[in-house]
Amino acid sequence: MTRKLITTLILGAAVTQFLFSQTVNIKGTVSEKSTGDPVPGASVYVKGTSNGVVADGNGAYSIVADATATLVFSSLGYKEAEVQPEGRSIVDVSLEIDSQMLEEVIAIGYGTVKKSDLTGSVASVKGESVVNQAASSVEKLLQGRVAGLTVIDSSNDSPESNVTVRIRGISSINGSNSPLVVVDGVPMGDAGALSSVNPNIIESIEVLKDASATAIYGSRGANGVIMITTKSGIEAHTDVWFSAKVGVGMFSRKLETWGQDELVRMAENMNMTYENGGSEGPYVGKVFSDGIYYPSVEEIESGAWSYYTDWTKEVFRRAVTQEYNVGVEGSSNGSRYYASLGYYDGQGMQYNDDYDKISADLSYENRIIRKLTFSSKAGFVRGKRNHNMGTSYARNPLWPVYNGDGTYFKANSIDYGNPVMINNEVTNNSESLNGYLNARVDWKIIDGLTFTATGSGRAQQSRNCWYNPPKYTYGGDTYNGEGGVGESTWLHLQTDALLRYEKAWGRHNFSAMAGASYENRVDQYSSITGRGFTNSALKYETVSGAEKVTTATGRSQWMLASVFTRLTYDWSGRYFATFTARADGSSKFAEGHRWGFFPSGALGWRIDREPFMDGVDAVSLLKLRASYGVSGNQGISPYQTFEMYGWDYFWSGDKEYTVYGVGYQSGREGIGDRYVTYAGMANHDLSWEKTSQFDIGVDLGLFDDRLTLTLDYYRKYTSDLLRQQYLAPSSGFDTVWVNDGEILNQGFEFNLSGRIVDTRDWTLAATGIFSLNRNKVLRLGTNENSGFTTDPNGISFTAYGGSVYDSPFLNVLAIGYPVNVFYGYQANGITQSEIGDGTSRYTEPGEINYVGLREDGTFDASQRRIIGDPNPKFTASLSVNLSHRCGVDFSMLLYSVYGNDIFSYRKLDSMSYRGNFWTYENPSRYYPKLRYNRSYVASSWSVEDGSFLRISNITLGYTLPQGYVSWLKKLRLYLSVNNPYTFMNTSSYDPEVGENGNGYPAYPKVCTITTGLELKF
Amino acid sequence: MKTMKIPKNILLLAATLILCVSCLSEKPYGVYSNQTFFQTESDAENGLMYAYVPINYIEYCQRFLFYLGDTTTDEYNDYGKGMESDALTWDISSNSEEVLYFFKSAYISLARTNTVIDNVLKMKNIPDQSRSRILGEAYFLRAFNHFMLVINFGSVPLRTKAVESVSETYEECAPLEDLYESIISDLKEAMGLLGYNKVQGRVDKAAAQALLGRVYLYLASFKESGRPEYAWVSDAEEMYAESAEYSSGLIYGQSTYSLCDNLDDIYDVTKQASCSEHVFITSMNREASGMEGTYSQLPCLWAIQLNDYIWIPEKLDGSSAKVIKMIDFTATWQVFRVDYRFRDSFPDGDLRKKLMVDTIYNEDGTVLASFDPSNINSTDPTLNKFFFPFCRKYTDPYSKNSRCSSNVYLIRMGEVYLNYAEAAGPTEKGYECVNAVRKRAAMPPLEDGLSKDEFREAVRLERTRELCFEGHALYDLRRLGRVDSIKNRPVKQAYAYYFPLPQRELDLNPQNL
Repeated sequence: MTRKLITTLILGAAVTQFLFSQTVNIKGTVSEKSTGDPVPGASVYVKGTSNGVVADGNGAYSIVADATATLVFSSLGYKEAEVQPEGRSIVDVSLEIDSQMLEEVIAIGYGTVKKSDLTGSVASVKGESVVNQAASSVEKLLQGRVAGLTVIDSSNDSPESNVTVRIRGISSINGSNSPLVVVDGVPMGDAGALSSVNPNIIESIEVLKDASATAIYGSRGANGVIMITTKSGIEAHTDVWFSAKVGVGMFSRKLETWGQDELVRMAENMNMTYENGGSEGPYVGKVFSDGIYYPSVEEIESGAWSYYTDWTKEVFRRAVTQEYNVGVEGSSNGSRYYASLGYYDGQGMQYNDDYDKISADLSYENRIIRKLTFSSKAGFVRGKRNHNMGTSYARNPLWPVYNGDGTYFKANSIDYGNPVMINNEVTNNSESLNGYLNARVDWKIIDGLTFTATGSGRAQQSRNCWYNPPKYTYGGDTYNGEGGVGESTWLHLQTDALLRYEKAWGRHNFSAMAGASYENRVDQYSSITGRGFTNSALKYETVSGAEKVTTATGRSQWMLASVFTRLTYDWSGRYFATFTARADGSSKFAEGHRWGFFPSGALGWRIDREPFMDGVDAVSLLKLRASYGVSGNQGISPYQTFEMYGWDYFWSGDKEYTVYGVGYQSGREGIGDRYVTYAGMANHDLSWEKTSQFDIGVDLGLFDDRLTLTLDYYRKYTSDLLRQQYLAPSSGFDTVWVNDGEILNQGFEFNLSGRIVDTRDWTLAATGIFSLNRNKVLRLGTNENSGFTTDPNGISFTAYGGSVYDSPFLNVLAIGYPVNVFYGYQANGITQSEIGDGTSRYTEPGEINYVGLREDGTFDASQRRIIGDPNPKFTASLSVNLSHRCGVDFSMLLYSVYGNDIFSYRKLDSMSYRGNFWTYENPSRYYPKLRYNRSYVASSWSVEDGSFLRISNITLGYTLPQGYVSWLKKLRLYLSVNNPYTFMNTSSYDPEVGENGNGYPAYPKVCTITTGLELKF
Repeated sequence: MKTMKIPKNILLLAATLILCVSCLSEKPYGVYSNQTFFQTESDAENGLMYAYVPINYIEYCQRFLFYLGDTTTDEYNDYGKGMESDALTWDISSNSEEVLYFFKSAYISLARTNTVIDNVLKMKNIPDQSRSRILGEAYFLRAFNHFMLVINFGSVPLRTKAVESVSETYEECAPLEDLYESIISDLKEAMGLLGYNKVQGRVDKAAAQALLGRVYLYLASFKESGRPEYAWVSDAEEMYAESAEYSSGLIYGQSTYSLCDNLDDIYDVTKQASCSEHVFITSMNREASGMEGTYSQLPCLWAIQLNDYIWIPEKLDGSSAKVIKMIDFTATWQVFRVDYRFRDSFPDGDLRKKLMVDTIYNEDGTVLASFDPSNINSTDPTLNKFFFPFCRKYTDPYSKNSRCSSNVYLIRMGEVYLNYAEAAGPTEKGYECVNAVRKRAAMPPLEDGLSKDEFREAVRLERTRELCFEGHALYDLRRLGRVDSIKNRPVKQAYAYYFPLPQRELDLNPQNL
């Protein structure tokens, strides 16, 4: 069908052309030079026109062309060949295998460059190579694919799959550390949650790492840039494709819960937990102090208490995720197009944790007149999210799901924890509609000089609806039903204009680019909340009729104006120089501090092209690169340079007032988020955070690029750190944004890939990636301005992060130490005999023996030390691809993080140490006794080794050999297993807890098995 | 010709750029700042009310004041059932939530108060009368917050100006002398600026007078009990005299406030606003729109956990057979468990003993259960909960579920009378005041002819009975140097007289290391 269409189009074109010139019909076959095998599907087109055809399964083609035309033959993986028929009607062509993809053109900011001419440190990943699992956003798929790019997937059970992305370590404190994502030239913001781009339409991903590459994004380049280029239609023929993926998720290791045969032990342990705390235990067959009747141990043992519920079955499910994409791409008469439609239906492991989306993308490019090309991309994503409102499988297994009469079992009148009840009765869902439109005009003014103007708009509208009914929720009981609807929108507009000029004089090649850009982002929301509903039948729908209705509106805006330029020069393809500069003005900073200037320069030397290397055939590529530059960071929210007032309600006399004043509620902290935190102090001097980076690298290709090696060393120095400084409680504020401090990141990246076996039948390729980063806090401003503490041991630090147990913080920024190190007491095993007079619960036998614990149970704060470092010594990955001529392929990705500490909360979970706890009879040296009212401080007792080696992915696929079915261009089936197993050595369910090493995975990593189908016609 | 197009484009770029540069200025939406607030009288009034808000917080006077000030004493016991707070077992540390958040909340109120004072002093377009009142209330709040800090933590940073920059956050702890000087001068300033104007949730001249009476009484007894940190106080008797003067000014110098005749009315949720007893009472309301703190859940803390309505007698003196709900909610918490021995120390016939409930009823007025310490071992689900007499000073029969209008009695005339009696000693008016309080509780007058010390001791005993469960107990023991008299559990000596400064304060305000 499509072939016919093409033929018709071509015939049409041919007829038109016939009127003007003499045309001939040319036939032939396309084959591979070394083997003589046909190259099926090669594209053949007439140079300088859109007239083209595709060779069939045997490499045969037929094309109508001008007698004087030049034919261009190409196929992926082969060097392009140009042939002038010179009157021949049969032209057989043999194509040479392209030794490496080095000649590929890759996207850098505001332009493209031949990979061989790169002077910066840029890594490239093909979209196709990562989409073998269903995922709602692409970042997750990049883990282990790029040296120096870290992807932390600590919440891997979210169907919306948000991840943490870092390039070359942490260089900022509270300003954003996420790389900038640029999609088709449009900056999209922080990497990590890019659900508006369908991973299946991605052509290529470039990761810009050094300052030379990122400086073109100036103030937002400090954390690196991830450039995504989406597909925009292929030349010369039309493809229709379809892909389907269905994945099933399950836990990669067993969840630990109390089994039915362990209930007696559970009850006994719980009683002991209370008795050791000086209280009577609950399992004594009485109503306990929480108002709940707990059966006695005897009742459980004898079976008189017959209830048992395996809550994991009520909370978790086999999560099924499906994804389908269909698309068409092609070109005709000076235009190229690409259109696709995708559907994603993701499930979290917990019931009611769902996300589905429909996306449509369209790309169209047209040459309007000879020198003017118009291109546009547009699309939308419709997403629906159903939020699970926090169900826990750790609920008491002695409680049933339902009462005898079919109503939900509540242990007491304020027990709102029954997961089945929550899933059935509580509503919280959101819908969003996200659209984008990019338009671009390229005007070739004169030869070598191009003017480009782009305009882009993105917008999102979303709506969240929620309802907490009485009886089943705390809020519902407190307010007799509460619910509401919130709507939020954002609009992001950007316009760019740039001029590009290219010129060659003999062996001198010169290019220049200059441009300007303006961005404007507006976020707005409004919400209505109701309390006191007549009944729950219509949930939030009757919110306006609620007894008490409150509304809220909000708006925030930021602007960024920029000018930028890039100059490149090379001599004879051997010596390269690049200069880049950008000036950015950001509305987020104080007047007089708004503009920042970010220059960079880079040099490259292709040693292999030197005459003296002529005889060295083994070396196919040897390039030295060096770069230095400055980029910035502005990743904070707007309005931090103003005092920001807050509001609350106050009842004066018999009337309620909404009252305002200094300090606004910036968050909540403490157990159950009970306490409010305040911000709102202005910083009138807030300005850019700056990162200067030096990078030196080598690219080496051996034996016709069978073996390639990329090495980079970098030194990244960040100053004027934007950080959220914690303030003394006596100031009346908790945090303020400041601009001080210096951090150094140094590292080494290594990427070795080789086609180890490359025979007619077998191909075995492997890539090893190794990244090492060392991070150090150099300065924290002055003591006076930034208020760091110098403890009696000479450690100068400031708190960085929230509270842990009873300690106000765990992570600190300490001068001379890596970012985020743990600060706290050292634990010296378990206290074996009474210390002091026994008046304190901390000093009894069986308690953690903290260094610095005094006999009276008070703590000597000066005994605190650095007790852990969550930064890995290195990360490494290995990917192996094995394929056979018959079409079978196998690939595996291993990912490892080594040498980092984590703070394991699970070590204290009564489940995880149920057999090891301290007793008088069996005094453990590692675990304390069971005790319900123990309070903990941050100590080395909970610090564990977070190293792991994960089998990230195993894929087995089969691709039908090309040309096997004439109308089918591609058929591929595969089975892919994600996260099947992790080698680790921590009590935590998973060591991938986040970069501060302080997180609590409530259950193990999810292993996903995906089957997929790809079809192309 | 073609080359002429280039400059045109560049001009276009330049024009775009100039346009853009001018549009980088920010305008925060819907957020007041110093530039947009404190423009009008109602702004000032509104900002002042914002400064009152933290007093209602759980972590300040609504709950933590009770944790720190009352549960640490013989008034309460955990009966081996565990406690929500470290304070009851004196397992207090610089990391305890009670310590950190009580401290922080006082300073949040101070930050707001100082902003009001700084701005209102600059405002020109505000009538003198309103200006005086707003400033007066603000000075009172500043003193109140500093006093709460001093009685809990001793030497703390003194804040008399809004903190506007990071470097201003570093402030050394002020000597006690400076703190008291500031408290007293703020209260005197407030007295001068304020008149009598009783509004629930707010203060007027009476509160300033009453608090001055309390502050001087504390100073007198700190000095008298020989606390070394108070060596700078000139003379105990001089302080007693000052205390007596301010208290008597309030008792005898106005007609808005007086000792309420009826003990029931003081604790009646419907009479909080009107009862002449209350000089400073919080204004949490069951109808409020905000989070807990705009409403209270106070009755839940004391009521036993029946998982059913708790019916108590309407009148303390038994003059009515009617019963009322303690709260219109069944899932109460029984967190504050009164030590029955504390109740036993009250003479029979003292109506205040009845504020610790020993009998609960059915809705029809028949007896449901009676308290007995041995109930703790009972298998009856109701009796099993009723092993302590629970306090009924905080009730709301009209609550909306657990949301109550029950409020905290921060300053009331009963205290002012006892402050006066203790300060004045066995004078005619001294006897008059203490006997008025006793009479209300159906107690006979104090024996005549007591010596000054005997009289003051008698007044102090009266005080424990009158003001129990209202956040005074530990502070009274501290000023009298009697923390060691706590019998029902060991006291952590290191923190007996001062709670430790929060670790966060020590770490982030290194001036105090």
